[in-house]
Amino acid sequence: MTGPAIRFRFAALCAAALMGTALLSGCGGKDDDDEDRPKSARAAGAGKEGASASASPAASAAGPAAGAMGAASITGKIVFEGAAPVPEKYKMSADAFCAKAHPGDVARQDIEIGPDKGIADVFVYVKSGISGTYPAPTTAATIDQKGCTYHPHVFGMVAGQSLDILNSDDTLHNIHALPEKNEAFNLGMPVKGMKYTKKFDKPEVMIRIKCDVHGWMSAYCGVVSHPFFAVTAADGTYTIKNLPAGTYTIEAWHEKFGTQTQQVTVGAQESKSAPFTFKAGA
Amino acid sequence: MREAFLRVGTRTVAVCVFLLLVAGALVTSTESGLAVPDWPLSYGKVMPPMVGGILYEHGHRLIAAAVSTLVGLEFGAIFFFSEGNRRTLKILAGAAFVAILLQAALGGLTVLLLLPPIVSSAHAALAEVVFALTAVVALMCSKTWRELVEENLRISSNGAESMRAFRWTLAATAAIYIQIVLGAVMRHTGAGLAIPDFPTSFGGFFPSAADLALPGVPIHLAHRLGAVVVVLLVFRAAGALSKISPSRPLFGIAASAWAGLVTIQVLLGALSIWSRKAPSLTAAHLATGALCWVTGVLAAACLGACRNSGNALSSARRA
Repeated sequence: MTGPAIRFRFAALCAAALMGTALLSGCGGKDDDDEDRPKSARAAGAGKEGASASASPAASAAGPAAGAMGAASITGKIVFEGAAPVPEKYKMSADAFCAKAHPGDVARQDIEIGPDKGIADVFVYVKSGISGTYPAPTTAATIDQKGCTYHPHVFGMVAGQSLDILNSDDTLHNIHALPEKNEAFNLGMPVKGMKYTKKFDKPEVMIRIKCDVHGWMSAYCGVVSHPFFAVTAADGTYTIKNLPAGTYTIEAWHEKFGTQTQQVTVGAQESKSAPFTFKAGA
Repeated sequence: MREAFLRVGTRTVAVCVFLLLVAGALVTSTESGLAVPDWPLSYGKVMPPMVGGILYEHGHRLIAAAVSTLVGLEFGAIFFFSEGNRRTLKILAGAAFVAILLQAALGGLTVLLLLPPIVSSAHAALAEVVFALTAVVALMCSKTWRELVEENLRISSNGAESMRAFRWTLAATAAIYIQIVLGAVMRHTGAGLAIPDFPTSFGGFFPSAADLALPGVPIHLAHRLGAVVVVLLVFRAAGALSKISPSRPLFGIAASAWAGLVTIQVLLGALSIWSRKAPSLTAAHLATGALCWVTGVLAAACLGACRNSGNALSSARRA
């Protein structure tokens, strides 16, 4: 056993052991669920308004269900108290197509507060108090990649409802959903007009959706087991319709300001107000 | 001529592997790991538009393909052209080639499985092994190595000091590797800002029990505590290396470089937190960590070679 070459086998063995350790720790994984293929080459130009409409809960909940539909409603306005935070700004210079669509600085979509302090894109839903089961609507919710942003930025769905994913941009996107209870997916959408359809089968509030090509693109989807939810409009108002009489816990979720809940009791055909107020640092 | 070719070639390969590592760090730092959802092709093409995160992810793939080819060529060159009985060198070059191929497979797997932390962390851990292997191969093809092993055995006369330096260097290098793996797990589980302040932890000296129950806090804390251990061990090892530098100035230089790199590394770790994980700083943190690791590996390899040469000489003299 003389000579450095032979004795230096020790180093080789150490290296092999380290390599083995690193590889062994890599064993494992999960199923890939990218089984959906592009279904259409037709461009679907649904903007924020259209996409919001297609994700509108009560209107799309059709058909018989064990859970009852009623005529009560809960409305409200969600406002911000104090000095409204200024949304961060960024440039879309990473992609010439996006930069052309949005020259200059662009405000992030995570904080949208109107002049009267109304907060847009708050997901409001009945967290508890619903009894019975509700079938998924037969109409699909829609999310569109348009102008290198998601439309809508926040939306809701019933568990099991189809989600149509569109690319209206003449650039490529990937759509990457990061749920914790549902199956994750990451789909490439390199061609304008592409469409995929996916589903989230389990209730989950909220699921983040992002584009890894364009780091500024993100959206949130609230998946619930019933059709009683809404997303606030630009002025911070919302309406949850067609509720049966009962006592409900209503939760309001905002991606930056967190969540708030309150209990509301409505009688048949009654309309109650449930306003929420978010504060800085609350 | 062949030796000179191998000397330059192996160094180039080691530098290229380091650049590949930096490219990989940028992919993670810019959160572009899934900007290309398919593998081995990218959006079904060999060359997709290099926009946004695709620039980092596909760029990393292109560099990886080129560097893997270089490592393969290096193995071939060493296997067929190295002079003398250099079996260990051939084994290490072969191991580097196998490792980088496995590394490519892990890279593909982590994309297809949507970046599961265990696979992504293994990808990061194996990258450091590839870098170390190619660096040691370059060292073994260098003049320094030849001097250490075959000509100059002065250092072996100071056996106790060199043994002490060797042991501290091994301990510090092992600690760095564990720290790198902890860092990789922290990055890939999204725990980089689990403790948002530094040098304090949630405003205090140590996280409370409630803070420790928060997701990501234990692994983040382990990485911080690991940094303390690494700093102490590296400075101790650097001190031991300095003591043998009069007979071998190379070790003094290595000691200074190592201590300097670790100091920079701590600063970059702090800056990564203070900047809320600015991509350039987190990538620099990863790159400096790799340099700390390889400095330790090379120092340990040199010391090991000296010890072995010294022992061989002693045996020969006794005979």
